[in-house]
Amino acid sequence: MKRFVALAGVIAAVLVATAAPAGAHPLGNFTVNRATAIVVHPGEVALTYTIDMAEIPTFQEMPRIDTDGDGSATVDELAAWASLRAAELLPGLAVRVDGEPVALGSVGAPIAVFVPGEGGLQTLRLEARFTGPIAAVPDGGATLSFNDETGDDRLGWREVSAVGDGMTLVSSTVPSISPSDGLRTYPDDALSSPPAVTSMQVVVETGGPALGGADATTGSSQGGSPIDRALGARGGLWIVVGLVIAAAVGAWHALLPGHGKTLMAGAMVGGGARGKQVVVAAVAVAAMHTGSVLLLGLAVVVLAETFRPETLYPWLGAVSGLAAAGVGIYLVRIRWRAWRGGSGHRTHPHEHEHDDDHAHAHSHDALPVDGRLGARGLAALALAGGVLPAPSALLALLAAVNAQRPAYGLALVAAFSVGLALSLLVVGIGAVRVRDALARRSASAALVAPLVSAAAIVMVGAALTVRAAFSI
Amino acid sequence: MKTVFRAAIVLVLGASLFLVGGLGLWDGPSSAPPTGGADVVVTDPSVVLNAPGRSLDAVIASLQERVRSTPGDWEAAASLGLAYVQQARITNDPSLYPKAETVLQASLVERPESNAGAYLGLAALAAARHDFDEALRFGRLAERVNPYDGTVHGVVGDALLELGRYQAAFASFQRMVDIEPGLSAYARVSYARELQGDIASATAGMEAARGVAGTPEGAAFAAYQLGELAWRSGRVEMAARYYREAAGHDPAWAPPQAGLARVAWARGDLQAAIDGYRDVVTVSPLPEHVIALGDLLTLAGDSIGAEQQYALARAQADLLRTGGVNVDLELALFEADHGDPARALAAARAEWDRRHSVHVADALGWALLAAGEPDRAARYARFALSLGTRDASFLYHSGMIEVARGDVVAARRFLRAALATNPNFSFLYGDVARETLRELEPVR
Repeated sequence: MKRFVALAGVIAAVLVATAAPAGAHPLGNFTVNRATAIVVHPGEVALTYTIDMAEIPTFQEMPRIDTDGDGSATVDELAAWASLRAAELLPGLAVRVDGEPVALGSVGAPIAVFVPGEGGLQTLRLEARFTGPIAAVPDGGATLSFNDETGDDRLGWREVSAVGDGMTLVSSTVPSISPSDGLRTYPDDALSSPPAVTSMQVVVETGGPALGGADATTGSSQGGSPIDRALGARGGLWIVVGLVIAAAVGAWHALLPGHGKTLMAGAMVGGGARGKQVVVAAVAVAAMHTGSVLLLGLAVVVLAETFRPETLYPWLGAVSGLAAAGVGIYLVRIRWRAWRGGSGHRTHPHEHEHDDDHAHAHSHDALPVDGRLGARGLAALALAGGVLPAPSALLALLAAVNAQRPAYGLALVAAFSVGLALSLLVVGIGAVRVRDALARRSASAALVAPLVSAAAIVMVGAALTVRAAFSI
Repeated sequence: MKTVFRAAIVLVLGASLFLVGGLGLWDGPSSAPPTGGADVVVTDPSVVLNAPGRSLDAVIASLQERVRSTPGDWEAAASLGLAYVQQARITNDPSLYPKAETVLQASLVERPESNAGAYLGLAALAAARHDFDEALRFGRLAERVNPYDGTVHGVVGDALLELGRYQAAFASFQRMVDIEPGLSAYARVSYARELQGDIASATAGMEAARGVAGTPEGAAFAAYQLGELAWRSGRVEMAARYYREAAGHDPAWAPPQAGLARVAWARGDLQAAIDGYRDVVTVSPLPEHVIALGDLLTLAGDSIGAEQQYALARAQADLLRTGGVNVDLELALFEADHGDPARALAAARAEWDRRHSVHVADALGWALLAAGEPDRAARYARFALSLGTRDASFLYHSGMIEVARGDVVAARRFLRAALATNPNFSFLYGDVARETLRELEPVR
């Protein structure tokens, strides 16, 4: 499982190119990484200061956040800390126009969020916004400079970016776009050292194109509809690539051991399904899985401080296993009768449709006597195959939400589920084909194969349940 | 029926092979980036690339440029990897280790045979992660290719030293001095002499190292080590001078600041020591500094603050272990001092199974005493002192073990020697040593 979580971490990193780290901090768990994004508007300069603290500095900061000392940081405590930090930062942010200091002030409430890091520790991200008035720029321009004098020389990435909005920046010493997308992605390059930029200088001239919605206010990804932000910020091609990868990972996930694959194939053979039912079942499992991921993701986001998804996994695993075992036991009972009837009397199995009625009245709509899965059986199958969210899908969703691209996260999870459904579909149809081919060849195989399949489901279900029970 | 079974078996086998193959492929990237961390190997002067007048930053920048512009240059890639390891030892930035590993492996891919530079870098990397067997293996590979490189003998000697093979280690250091006298070689010789209890020669060796230092980092390193030698032999004022000198060469480097904080404590200014260590752990939250701050807070009566630091140290240790760094030696001493004798003993035993160095023997002896086995502890304590090392902490441990065994004469001798060597050897145990010694003195 540990390995699988690690694997899922890698997949999530691939999936969400924009993600903040879900595993180890890419720059090492000592680092305090800082980005300053400056936007020069007519008459105003706006500055977004972002801090991304890795595990150890976050741990060290905890006594200052958890002010009542009860061992956990509440939303209120975190908000208070964020305001305090913003107030501490303010005097150290030196913006000057032609040498004259600009009086900056805090704008809005700073945002602070915990992000799960390595070793069960948290990392912490703070985003604070400041603005200050600037005088009308004379002809020939004015020199605007920024110097980070917050006096924090801890290890870490340090960048400054600056862009004009209705103003033109000439001969800037820094890029106009954050090289790390506001400390969301750190280039993984063994041949470069993290930047250590703490100041900038630029000549500002009046006039120039207005910034588009996304960057107009702060230079980071504020404003615009969520979907615009999700789809606009990274470029369409990468979105598509991400979605395709997500679907591929979903398809792959369905093939991993202990998941939908075996159940699907078994249930289709054991349940005597036809093509259409295979489609319905695959869609049901995928839909269940999507819902499960979204619910768990929502729980993680809303209950960030108190809720740890890993504690829920064994329970979900147990539910999944029990549901599978339930489906299996139903099918075994049906098939056992069919087989005994089939081999004993050499009659057509469909005869039992009638004389089995009394024995299975209670489960009639779940499992019609010809062994097909009814609505309740389908629900049980969906529960068995889909209730346990793939960690990779969950991580992708959380990472996207954390990168303030929730729409992209939803799209990724949807793509993941489509891949999952397709994979299950292929497995299911394959299984049905094999079964039919066997049935054509020998009548006893037509009876035995479904029974074996049903027994296999019971075993898989039992195994899943036992495994989950041990980790609860 | 048979066909069904055969088909099923073939299917299952095929599926499992596919899965194993697939997982194997995926497992590559997920296991690749272990991060490293704390470094107790004090022998390495961090300046293997001792290019005169150029700081390590500049060396790294030019090597990065070189590798980028000439991707096939496996020698530059190997040098860059080694430089990253050196940089990590100075800055304690563990994220440099995966980078080092990446470029070193790339160098090996480019030139799989006889790539002494990459072997050397991988040896240094393994040592930084406290995997000394691996360090020795790569060191030997490098030695076979390039026996006339001084640095190779230095790295081999470091590994041998940590593995407790002292005579072989000292011989390697001697070869290094013969081939390539310089800061790195002198610093290692100095450490070898200190281990054998010859502080005067050790100081002379480190003075020589300081004399040939070609970079600010090198000069800071040598001055700091001189400060440590002075401190460990109880000379507080001399240590203070050296620490200040080191801080002057490299103000951003944390160890001299920690040294100055210790000096403040020795002079009786507990608050200044706490403030100093707070600054140190902000910049460089290594377990050793964090534990020191915890101990100082304990002295100041701030048990809540102290517990926070100890919790941080434990979290650090967990992270380091997750990152593939073996911290059993440090953990054993920490747990024996701060709480969990069973964990201390398990960690010390595990490390002793790996290597028989005097430091591990000392930790195992101390852990055995904490676990209530003074007689067995005494055996390891004797081993710890077998090189003649004048380490106040070793002596104190021996003394307390003898107290527990009831050998008053030996206990007195060890505790007196500990306090004579360095009365400031421990924030917490100096007073315990003095108190115990007073109780042991014959009633007059």
